[in-house]
Amino acid sequence: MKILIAEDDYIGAKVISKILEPYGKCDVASNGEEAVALFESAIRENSGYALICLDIMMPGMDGQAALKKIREIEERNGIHGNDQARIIMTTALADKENILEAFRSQCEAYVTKPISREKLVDKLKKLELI
Amino acid sequence: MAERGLLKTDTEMERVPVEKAWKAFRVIAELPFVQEILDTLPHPALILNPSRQAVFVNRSLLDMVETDDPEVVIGKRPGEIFNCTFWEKGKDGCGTSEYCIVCGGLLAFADCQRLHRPARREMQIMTRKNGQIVPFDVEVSVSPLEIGVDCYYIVNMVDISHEKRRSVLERMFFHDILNTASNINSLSHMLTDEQSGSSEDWAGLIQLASGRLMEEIESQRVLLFAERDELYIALKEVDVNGEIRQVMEMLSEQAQHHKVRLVSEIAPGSCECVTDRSLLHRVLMNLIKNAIEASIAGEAVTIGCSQEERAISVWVKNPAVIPAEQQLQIFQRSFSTKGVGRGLGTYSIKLLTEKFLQGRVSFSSTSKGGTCFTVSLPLHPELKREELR
Repeated sequence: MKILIAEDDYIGAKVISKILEPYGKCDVASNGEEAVALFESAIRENSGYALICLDIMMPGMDGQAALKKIREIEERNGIHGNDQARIIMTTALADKENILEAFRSQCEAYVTKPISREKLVDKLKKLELI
Repeated sequence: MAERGLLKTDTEMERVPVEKAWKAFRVIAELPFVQEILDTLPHPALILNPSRQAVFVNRSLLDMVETDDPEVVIGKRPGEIFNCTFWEKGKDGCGTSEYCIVCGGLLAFADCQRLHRPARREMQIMTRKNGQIVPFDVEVSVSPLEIGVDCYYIVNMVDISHEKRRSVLERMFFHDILNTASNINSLSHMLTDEQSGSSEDWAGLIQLASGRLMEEIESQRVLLFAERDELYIALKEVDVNGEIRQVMEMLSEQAQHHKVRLVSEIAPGSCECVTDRSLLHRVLMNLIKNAIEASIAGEAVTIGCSQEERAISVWVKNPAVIPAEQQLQIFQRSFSTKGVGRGLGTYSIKLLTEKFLQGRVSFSSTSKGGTCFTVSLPLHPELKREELR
């Protein structure tokens, strides 16, 4: 599967990439704008991402805004249901407000940092990606 | 820059002569309990006429501007009373400069005047006191007040600087520092995870992440002490080129992650001035980090340094343009392009450079030239020996 990781911190991105490497090819974006651009170009090339990990707090376009954009792009392109990307929000602050907003914008799951192999793989199983 | 003319306050309401403001003062002073009630308020309060000139003020306001004499304030507009850094930039004082269109105080007044009902906004005011810039975050509430046939506006100004400060600090500590600490925790798991490859790579990243954690805590500590005016500086000959090279090296991984190139335009060799090395390091880190974060993949951040007769200028350029409205607030304490309650980068650059390193910070941001921040540092700052650490 194709995986997109949006994380402004390169150490955080490296950890997630390393954990997800065995399950697919990982592309890394350092902010929301870049993530949305990569997502849009993958759709154009007809090779969309199956899994997206979006950090909630990033400079410029944050994870929440990127999540909304990605869902809009899917809607525009008639991508629904099981064809949609599974989106996991990652956050250092597990505040209720942020998590609720992410679910309102249709994320599938969230993971609170520190990220470990166990936590992330558990989410992939729950989302039936592995 | 943003254009003036969005607000129908000062453009329509010309100033009235000071004598007329005094006449209103005498009318209000005659009303029972007005002075007494306003004086019980622990925060500055004032009554403005439709031209936004003070016609009555309370005790707290006089205390704040360190006077007993209402003559110092009657007939003036709020920015002139509090010595806002922007009031002299307009053609008719407070409310008329291009910076004023984002002033919460002016917007609250305009809302109240237009809608004839109470209005409330937050205002960031940068006042100048004894040559130093003192920032305040204030919640301004404006209510209409009819006295006979005349309409006035009662303004309450509650200082919320501490709440704002706490909220930014909480964001920084609870997010950025927790984020970095979480990384260290994740990396330590990777060390013992058999599927994660060489432990040497992860150990190296732990060193990097823990170094960054210390940097983040140190930058907060420096800012806190700088704001309390308790920061002592240690002057010595510093090679600014060497410092720039070091900071560029420290930020190279971050730049690479953002797919941004760091381009050095500094001349070979050294470029020396007498300054505080650790504060210069903080300023350079903030300048270059901000430029990296403002850039998109494929762009370049260019850093240069030049020596003039009495100063050294360091400049950092990136192609992105800062929107006009953000340019007007760029050095304000609570301002950030990273979302509510985040980021003190540009404020910290200005505070450390101008208050402690005796330098100047300026910036330009145009669609043609992109954004360029310039920090000029004196070759030999004039500081007394006893001010040194």
